[in-house]
Amino acid sequence: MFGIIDLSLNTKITSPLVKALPKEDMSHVVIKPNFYRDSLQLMKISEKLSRSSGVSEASIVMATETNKGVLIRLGFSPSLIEQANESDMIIAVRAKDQQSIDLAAEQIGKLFESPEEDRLDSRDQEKTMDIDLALRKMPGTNLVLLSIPGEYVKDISYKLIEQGIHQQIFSDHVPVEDELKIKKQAVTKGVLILGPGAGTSIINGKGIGFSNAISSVGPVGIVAAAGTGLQEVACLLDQCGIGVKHGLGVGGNDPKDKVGGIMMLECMKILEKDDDIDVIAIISKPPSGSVEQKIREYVIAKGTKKYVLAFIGGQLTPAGKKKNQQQGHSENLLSEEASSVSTSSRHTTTTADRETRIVKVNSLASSVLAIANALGNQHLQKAISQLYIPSEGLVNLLQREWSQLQSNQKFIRALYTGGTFTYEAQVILKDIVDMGQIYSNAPIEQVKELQDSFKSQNHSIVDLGEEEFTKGRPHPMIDPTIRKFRILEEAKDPEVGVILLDFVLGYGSNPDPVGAVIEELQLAKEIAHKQGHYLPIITHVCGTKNDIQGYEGSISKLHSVGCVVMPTNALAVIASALIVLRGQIELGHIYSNYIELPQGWNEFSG
Amino acid sequence: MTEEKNSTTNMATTARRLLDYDLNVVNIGLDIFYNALKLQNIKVVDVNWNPPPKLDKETEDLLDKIL
Repeated sequence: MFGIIDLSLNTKITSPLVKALPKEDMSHVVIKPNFYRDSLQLMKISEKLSRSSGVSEASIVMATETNKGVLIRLGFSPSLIEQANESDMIIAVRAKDQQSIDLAAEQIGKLFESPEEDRLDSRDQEKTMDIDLALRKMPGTNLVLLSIPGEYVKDISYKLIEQGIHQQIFSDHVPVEDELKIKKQAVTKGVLILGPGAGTSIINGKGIGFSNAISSVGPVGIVAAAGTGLQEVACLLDQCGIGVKHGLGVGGNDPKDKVGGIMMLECMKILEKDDDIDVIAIISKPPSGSVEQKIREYVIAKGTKKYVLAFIGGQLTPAGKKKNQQQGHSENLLSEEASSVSTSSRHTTTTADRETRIVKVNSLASSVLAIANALGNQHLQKAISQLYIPSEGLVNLLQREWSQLQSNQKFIRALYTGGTFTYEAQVILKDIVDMGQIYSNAPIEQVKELQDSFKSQNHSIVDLGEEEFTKGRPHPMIDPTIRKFRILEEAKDPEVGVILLDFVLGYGSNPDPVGAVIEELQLAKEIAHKQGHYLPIITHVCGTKNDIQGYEGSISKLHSVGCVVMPTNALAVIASALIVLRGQIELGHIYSNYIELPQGWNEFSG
Repeated sequence: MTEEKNSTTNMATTARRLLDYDLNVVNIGLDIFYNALKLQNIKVVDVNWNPPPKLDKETEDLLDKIL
């Protein structure tokens, strides 16, 4: 028990974000000095407390600057909150009366006494106390999954490398110098290092980290330096009936010059040796020039598979858009010749043949079409039917949305949980809207940086997974708190023409990411309506029909509150732009860049 | 070149331990990943990892000298 009453501080609710709550609610804030619990445990306790009788808001967090800011934005008084240090815990409860606060205080004590009740397997409730013991307890360990603060990764990783144990490192903030040393050492020992910063991998169809329940193991191998990108491509392929055998996440730094693509290349070599794999896709932000060169050289010299290079936002070479004879077949399209290469002829192909097996695309959606195309026309047709909306169809679908806008509703506000989606959205929007009006907290080249990540400007593409939102908090794929109040904040801005959202299902994510914000989505529409506006909300759900959150159910919930659901992130971005520009977009060019295969649709739809 | 060839051969061979057999995982860190593996019937052992205690500078220097 924390003596919540002794330290309580009654406050009046003043934040504009909580207008919807009853005015008579009371707020209480308690500081528990030098008391640590991890952010996930605190989130679970907060959720349980929020369900207590009379409690309208409960937030128990470590006192990081991010969390203090969030509590103040949620309407709790800053006077006590600002005094807390990072090692302190803050308990903030809002309830209808003092009796409810007292009951909540009692419940907090009980919840801290039983923190492990959510673990799935009661037989394993007792955790192993150290790593050596764990390795002895699991003979034949062939993967260690590390998700600890980045500063501690190197020492543990080195020890595991010495024991020849492959690793997936989710941890962020591992110094790049450490990453380089770890990976160089790992290569000499034949150890695979997935990450750091690798939240997702797929091994024999099984998901490691944030991942989805895919239906079948198939002929596709993926190397990814973009975690949500790997999830999106694997999910879209699954929807088209195409299975991924291995999807190996190497971390976002790997394809940069400093690391030199060490593990990206090793993973390509591993997938090359796999007889079950016919197509290898590389999903990444554009790698450095030298790494891209190494990738191409490897494929041309040694490649026997078909390759899809999905460098999001990378330049399609001139040959990609308008192939000419001089640049020839070395760069882009999976030509008819390459498509028809049979398995038996693989090992006798020439260098030129190998070059024609490389197709380069620059969006996640088009990479799926390219993979399907590489597997044959039947697969391509299925992919088209599942994922493609013709431009005329898109216009027809959205006309109703933009026709209800007021003239001052001109900006997109994207609140993303997936980093790759944030990146891809900026890439596509740069091609459509006035570039000078695009802001982000994770800006790509030529996009302006938000002055305050918590406050949108003009077109704002916000990655809620960036550090300023996650320090001391769970990732937004798990914890919807920040996005919830941000949705309401955007709804109140009369210049907002579209709210754009992603929902990532699967292992590791919130048990119901759509349900967690559905009230806010409904409220956002109501807020806009009261202000005399109509507010379009465009969404994309990244998931499979087997994901525990329910793919179809998630989409139905979004439809039920008037959201538009797009089959891919790329289409969601284009749809958002189409709405704020009232349909005034030359869609042919945008479609050929990001939605279709690079050289034009007809040639491939066959 | 020889070094590269050796390392490649080595990795291609050693990676088979991961890719050709059932996963046997040790999870160090977040519970959600442990739960995700369990949901897929993957064998996993969870480590109760805690950061090493922070020592003051004087103690660290002393230990550096001794060790």
